[in-house]
Amino acid sequence: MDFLLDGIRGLIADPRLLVMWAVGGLLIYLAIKKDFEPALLLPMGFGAILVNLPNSGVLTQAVSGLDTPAVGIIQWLFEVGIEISEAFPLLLFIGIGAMIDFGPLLSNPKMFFFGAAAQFGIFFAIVMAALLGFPLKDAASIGIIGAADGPTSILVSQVLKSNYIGPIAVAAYSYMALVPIIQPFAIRLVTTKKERQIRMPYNAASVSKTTRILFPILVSIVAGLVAPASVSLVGCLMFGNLIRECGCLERLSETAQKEFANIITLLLGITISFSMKADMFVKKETLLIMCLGLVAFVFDTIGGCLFAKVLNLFLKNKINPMIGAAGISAFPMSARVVQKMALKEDNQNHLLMHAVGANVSGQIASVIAGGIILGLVPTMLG
Amino acid sequence: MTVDMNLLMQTLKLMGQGMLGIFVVIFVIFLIVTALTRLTAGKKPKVEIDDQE
Repeated sequence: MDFLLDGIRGLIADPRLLVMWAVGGLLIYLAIKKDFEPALLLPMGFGAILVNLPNSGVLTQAVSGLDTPAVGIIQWLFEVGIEISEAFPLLLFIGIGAMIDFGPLLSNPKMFFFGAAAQFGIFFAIVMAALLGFPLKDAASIGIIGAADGPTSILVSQVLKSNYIGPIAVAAYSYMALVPIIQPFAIRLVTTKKERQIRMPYNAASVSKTTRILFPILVSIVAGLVAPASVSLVGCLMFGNLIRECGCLERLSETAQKEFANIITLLLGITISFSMKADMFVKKETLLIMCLGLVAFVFDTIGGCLFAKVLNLFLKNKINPMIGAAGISAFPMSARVVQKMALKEDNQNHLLMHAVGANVSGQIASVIAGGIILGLVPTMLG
Repeated sequence: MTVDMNLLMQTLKLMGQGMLGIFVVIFVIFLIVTALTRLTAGKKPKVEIDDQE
């Protein structure tokens, strides 16, 4: 009956497994009680417990007496769906693209630039990570937490073969859920009350159906020509959006937005937990990564606000700098945060449509940032 | 703690090239969207003036 104690012996041999159970429990608690990105954090939390059971059957294990190892489902999903093909994060972008209405951005194209400016935190965090001693591939993977976009973070860290995919995914999704707390703090750091009260009338131009249909096609081509490494990210996002806007694929659009996105989300959450094995997660670097992720989000917000303030030096019709903060990819939380703050400062100041425009621009800019990093970093490592 | 100056310079270069790259792509997309919006904007309907008076 000795075999019944194998699990207990495994726990005693590696107490870090218990730490990961606690981490898994914390993620489940945050998902259920605090409503922090529950669709991702709950599967990740439960998966973290599963992969950290001694000799867990969800991981591929050598079996004594058998020639071939017993394949574990979570490890198999990770190897096939993320490691070899990066399929799960990319397929999720089809669903995300189908969910996004680019109308507020297309009717107010100036907002495109705030999406670009609010990617600053990515590069600031990369520099900070390098200063803390992370090698370039890991620094770049940590910085991409600032894309505020879980699938992009997973994809970039996987392609760059970072050693910290698990902590990066946890940080990306946790901070996305914390946007309503992080952003007001960062916005107040760099804006005055008077600036936050700037009103912006909304005069949206009408957007033709032709523009809506051509937009995803042309964006894919432009991104492909300038930053070829971004094609898989931008292409999947824009393919989803084309399905939505073409008007002849209602059923596919509905499916991409709901069932398809839900299935991929479910699989992505449980699959990424493979990278949360104790030996890969319980390190002092994990705490540093959590701190750097926060830095990335704060400097995204600061970058966006400061960009708007610089523009205001030259513009007659001033821009509320909070719009710059909405340029991160966390949609729609960031736009809501800006609207709420604007109303708090002046109960007649409605910035929502501007903020939504900047926010969806952030979704495009974040995948472009991911593609540019994937293009530049391997060359530098070369 | 010693700072790897070579790595630091690489990351600063990445920051410069990365932000420039993002702004270039976004600027080109902005130009395309602006042009598309103008080219595909429907003509404003003429206001019919009822001249019966």
